[in-house]
Amino acid sequence: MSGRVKQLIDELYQVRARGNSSLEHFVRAHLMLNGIDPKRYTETSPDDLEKERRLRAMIDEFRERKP
Amino acid sequence: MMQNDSVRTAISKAKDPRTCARELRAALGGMTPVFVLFFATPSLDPKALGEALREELGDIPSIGCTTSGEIGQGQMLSDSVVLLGLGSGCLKSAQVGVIDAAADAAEVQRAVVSLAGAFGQAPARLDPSQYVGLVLHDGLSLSEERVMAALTELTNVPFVGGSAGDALAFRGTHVFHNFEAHPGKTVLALLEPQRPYRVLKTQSFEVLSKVLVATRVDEASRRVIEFNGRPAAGEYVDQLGISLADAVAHFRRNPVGIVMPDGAPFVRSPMRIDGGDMVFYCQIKEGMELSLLSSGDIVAQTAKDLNECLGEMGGASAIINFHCILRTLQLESEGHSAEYAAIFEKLPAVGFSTYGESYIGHMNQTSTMLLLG
Repeated sequence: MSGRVKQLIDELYQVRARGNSSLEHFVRAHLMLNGIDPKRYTETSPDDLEKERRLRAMIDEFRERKP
Repeated sequence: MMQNDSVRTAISKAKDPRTCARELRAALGGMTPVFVLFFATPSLDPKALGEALREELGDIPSIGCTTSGEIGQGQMLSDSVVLLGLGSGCLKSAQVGVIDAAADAAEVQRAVVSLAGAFGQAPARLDPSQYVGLVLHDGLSLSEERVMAALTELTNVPFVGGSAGDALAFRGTHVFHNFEAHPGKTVLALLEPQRPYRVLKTQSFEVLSKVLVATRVDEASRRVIEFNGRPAAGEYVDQLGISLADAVAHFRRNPVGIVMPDGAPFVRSPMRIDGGDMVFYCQIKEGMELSLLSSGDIVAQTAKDLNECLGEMGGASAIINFHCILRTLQLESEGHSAEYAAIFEKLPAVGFSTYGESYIGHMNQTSTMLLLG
């Protein structure tokens, strides 16, 4: 399988930024400071279970607190 | 100092805590602040200072910390306490909290849920156009990255701040929560400003084309063992084209940075070489791609960035400046401290020299400012 990390990064942007470019920058910087550089991931990047787990946790954490 | 109904700034250079607290209270005049922020020389006993301030100022929500130098009244100061009182014309409300520096993500979450709950909101529902956070860390706790990652994962509201100092003694720093002094803690404030605010992160570096990939690290101790698959120190000096003996002299001029898509780096400053390893003031994660940086004109860049930001905002009612101690030392060594401080001379600004700045993450060699409209 491939592309799963990019898919989750895009989902995180959607959940948190909803098209707001300032918030996208905020989330992108957070990812880069925590070792996930979005520009390194494309639809063909190999899947990475550890990064997928971290991204899923970020998405769930935020979603759980949204109404 | 700057005095209006909404914002008051004060400085005391008194040598005993009670006199200091009385002077600061007097400088606030008749104002009853919604929130008080202060930065204090470690030469005053933190516990006694906190008690004296509480006696003078009472139950006003407050956070503060010890420093490695204070900024106020257009001066780079030492052996002083600078205080900012924000009134109801500037802030609608403020909530403060304290956690152990060793707090895990769940403890950070509990604290932020409590702060946001006081505004009737869940952290993820807080609108970043309506709220902003402040954070002050124990500067020797090595906890900043963990706390900042947890905060940034919980909410879109930015937390801006810095790491407490102890005048470069590196023996112990304190933060203050409602005037109570604590070692080993992180204090948080969630503010609801009356008007829009801005966060300005300014640094004065050219990004060089030379890239160091951290291929082996010990994250917890902020140690890089290998860059580009080679012993870290050797690769750093080879990329700079200098000898190992000259490396330390280049640390301040040539740190490394995680470069964002807009070209701005989050700077990681080398602290020391240990064998072949390099120890940094910020954490570097395995696999991180870092660019070598070359320092530029701190005064000119800060003035330019601040003036642009102020122009876009139409002015600021208060500025809180978290200014890296490494910049303070560089300005001193180059004889530019007074010029830097003068940038803030006519502005309602307070700040301090930090052991690292906080915004999204932890970083070095910036002035990271909260500008309240």
